[in-house]
Formats: sequence, C-alpha cells, structure tokens
Amino acid sequence: MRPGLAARLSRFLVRCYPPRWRQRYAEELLEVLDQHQPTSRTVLNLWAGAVSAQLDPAWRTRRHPAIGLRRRVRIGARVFAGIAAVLLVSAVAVSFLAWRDEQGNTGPPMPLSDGVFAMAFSPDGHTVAVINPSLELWDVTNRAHPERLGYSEGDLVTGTDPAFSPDGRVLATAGGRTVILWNVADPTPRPTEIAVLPAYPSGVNALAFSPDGRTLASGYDDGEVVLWNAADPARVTPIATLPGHGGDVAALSFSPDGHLLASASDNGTVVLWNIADPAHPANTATLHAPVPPPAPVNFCPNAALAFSADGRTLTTVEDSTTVTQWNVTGPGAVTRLTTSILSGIGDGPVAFSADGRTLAGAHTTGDTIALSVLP
Amino acid sequence: LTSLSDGPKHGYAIMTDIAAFSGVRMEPGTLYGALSRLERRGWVAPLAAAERRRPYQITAAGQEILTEQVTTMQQIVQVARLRTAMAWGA
Repeated sequence: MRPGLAARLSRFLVRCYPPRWRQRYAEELLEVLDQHQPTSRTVLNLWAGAVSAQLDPAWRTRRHPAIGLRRRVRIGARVFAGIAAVLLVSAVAVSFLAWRDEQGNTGPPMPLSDGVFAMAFSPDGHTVAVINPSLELWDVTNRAHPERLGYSEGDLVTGTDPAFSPDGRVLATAGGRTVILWNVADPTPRPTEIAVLPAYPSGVNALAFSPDGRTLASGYDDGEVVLWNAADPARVTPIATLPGHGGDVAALSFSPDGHLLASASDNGTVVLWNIADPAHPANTATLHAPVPPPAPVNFCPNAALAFSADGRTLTTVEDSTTVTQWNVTGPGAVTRLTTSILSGIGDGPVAFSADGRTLAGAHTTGDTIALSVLP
Repeated sequence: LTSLSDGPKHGYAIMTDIAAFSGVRMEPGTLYGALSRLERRGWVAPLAAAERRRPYQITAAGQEILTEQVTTMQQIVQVARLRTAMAWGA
C-alpha cells in the first residue's frame, strides 16, 4: 500500500471510532499518526481498534445527548454538616466535587471519574454515588483523596439522581424507564443488583425513600408518581400510582413522619399527597409557585423540596432563587407562610440539608457555590 | 505499564520506548486500545495535554498490578529455564 494512501485511510478510520472515544482520544491519536509512518498494518490495526471500541458498551453513545449538558453543574443531593458539595462537569467531561462550608472555606476540588451526570450522597455523607454512565461509589471521607470503592459492570441510561435508603445499604437508581435497586452495603469491587422494578411508559425522573425505608417513590417524565413497597428490597411491589400533575416530576420528598409526600414539577406546581395509608393516597393540595418559573436555564431543573425537621413546614424552590415556605400542619389547609427571593444563591441547581434549613446553590458556570440558612 | 514505570510519557514516546526495549513495533490502534482500557481500570492516568500530546502516568494501582505481573512472569521464566535445562540441557 502506498504510504500516502495508508495515511489517508488511517485518518479516515479514526473517524470510525465511537463519538465518545473520539472526543477523548482522537486528537492524540492523530498526533501519533502524524509522527508514525502508516502502513497497511496500521490501517488494519486501526480498523480492528475501531470495531472493538464500537462493540464496547463503555463507549456506546448515550441515548440522551442532552443529559451531559443538562447536568453540567450538579449540587450534591445532600448538604452535610454545613458543607455543600457541587459536582462540576467540565467541557471535556472531567468531573470533580467542589466544596464550601458555612464559614466560606473551600477545599481543592476532588477529582471523580469522567463524565458524571447524576449523583447522591449517602445518609452519613461519607459516600457519593455517581452515574457516569456506570454506577460508581466513592468514599469521600478524605476530601483530599476520594477513593473509588466499586463500580457496576453495565451502564445506566439515566441522568436522574439516585437515592440511598435511610440506612445507606440500598441504592435506587433509574435505568431509563425502570428503577434498579442495588446492594451498596459493601460496594467493593462491585455494587450488586438486587432487583429491577417493572418499567413504566415514561422515564424515571426522581427517586426518594421514605424515612423508614419501607416505601420508595419514583417520579416519571409524564408527571406520575409510583409508590413501591420496598420493605424487602428483593421483593418490591407497586402499591399505588399517583396521577400526574401536568409536567415531569423534578423532585420528591417525604415528610419526617412519612405521612406526606411532596412532588415538584418543572412547571412550577407542587402536589402534596397524604400517604398515611400508602394504598390509598389522597391529594391534599396542589401548590402553585407564586412566581411562575422561567424556562429552565441551561436545561437545569432547579426545583427542590424539603420538609422541616418537625414536619410542620414545607419549603419549595422553583427557580433557584424563589423560596416559598408553606404551613402543612393540617391536611387540606395548606397556607403560604413566606416567599423570599434569595440573592447570590446562583442560577443553577439547588439542594437542601437533611434538616431542610440550609439551602445550597451554585452558578451554572460552576465557579460559585452559595449556602443560605433559611429563617 | 512497563513503559510508564520510569515516568510519564505521551503516545508516540510510549511506542518508540516499547520498540526500543522489546523490539515490538506497536501500531497506534493497539496503543490507544490498550491506553483506554488501562485508563478505565485506573491503572494509568492522563495528565494535562501539552498542545496535541497528552502524557500518561502510571497510578499506584497500576504499579501494584505491574509488580504482580512481573513476579508471575519471573516464576514462569524460572520454571521454563529449569524444565528446558532438564529436558534438553539448554
């Protein structure tokens, strides 16, 4: 084979690698090819490499290309001991956790694996579960040196944040239209799959465990919420389907006593359900954001929900900065207490602390993390 | 991993290094197939790219694996030497 033809064919074959592979390696490989004298062996070898990368599930193109963009900046689902963690995903898909505590201290960002687009903190705050798109568990006790505990074999097609059970032993992740439960009590070297729940017609968009861990709620793109009996994670059964509220479910939160479930939608509505008897959920109230939410910036769903520790107040955030507190003590008598506009909380995703008192926010550029203690 | 054990190297440097110490002429496709697998296993880590070249360095986990592999290979070599010497006095 003529050297010129081999060089041209080699460069063409680099384009036959999967897009995600090319994004990461193509430039370096082309540089190496420039220095190398390509022969027919080089061409054959690249062809074999491209075929094997195409067959490798790790390089398969995600079915939702918007996910990467949408999860450009993620706030940790937990503000632990006054520390907010923000997951930053840079343009080259390198992810790291940035920190800020109540005193304003920030540490060096903790590098995680590439391309993370969903995350959750364990209840004790020591472990972070990330989806990249396999499920990985990281020990983040030592903020200078996070350690990967284990990762799943296959990939999950989801940008939905996973949810830990209250005891931290079970993790629920979305997998497209299904929910997968994982045993994460000992995730080294692999978290093990406990159960794959029946699929629903639309994608899983939000997940939450009840405080006693016996009920799992899953929210879908079509606005429906399903309650599952998860007392035995190996034998999970559906209990009830809560009819949709017109927009996709962006966030779910149980009251501390487990009697109320709040679901927030990207369209600015929050529905409150009385699930004291989970088999017969009752729509208690539909709350409308006092200020209609603007179109999501950078595709970031900026809704968040939290009950106060005493269960008397529900705080909702519709658009990163508008925070409303509702009195939810009496069923059927939900009243709005306050609405405040937080300045400097950022325009990106927001997350509450476990006690619902601290709100963390970030700018979509990812360079500022803000913490705000609510009145 | 052996090539990276004495310090970080970029793609082409790894190829020339391997050709120099082992005589094996590696093709770029093989090299990048191996690098992507090693990186995914956490045995090598990419460093910041200088222009279009990105150096790679061996990680602690990679060093452990390499040491383990070298020990295994040494054992195989030893057994092979002994057996060939006994069988045909090589």
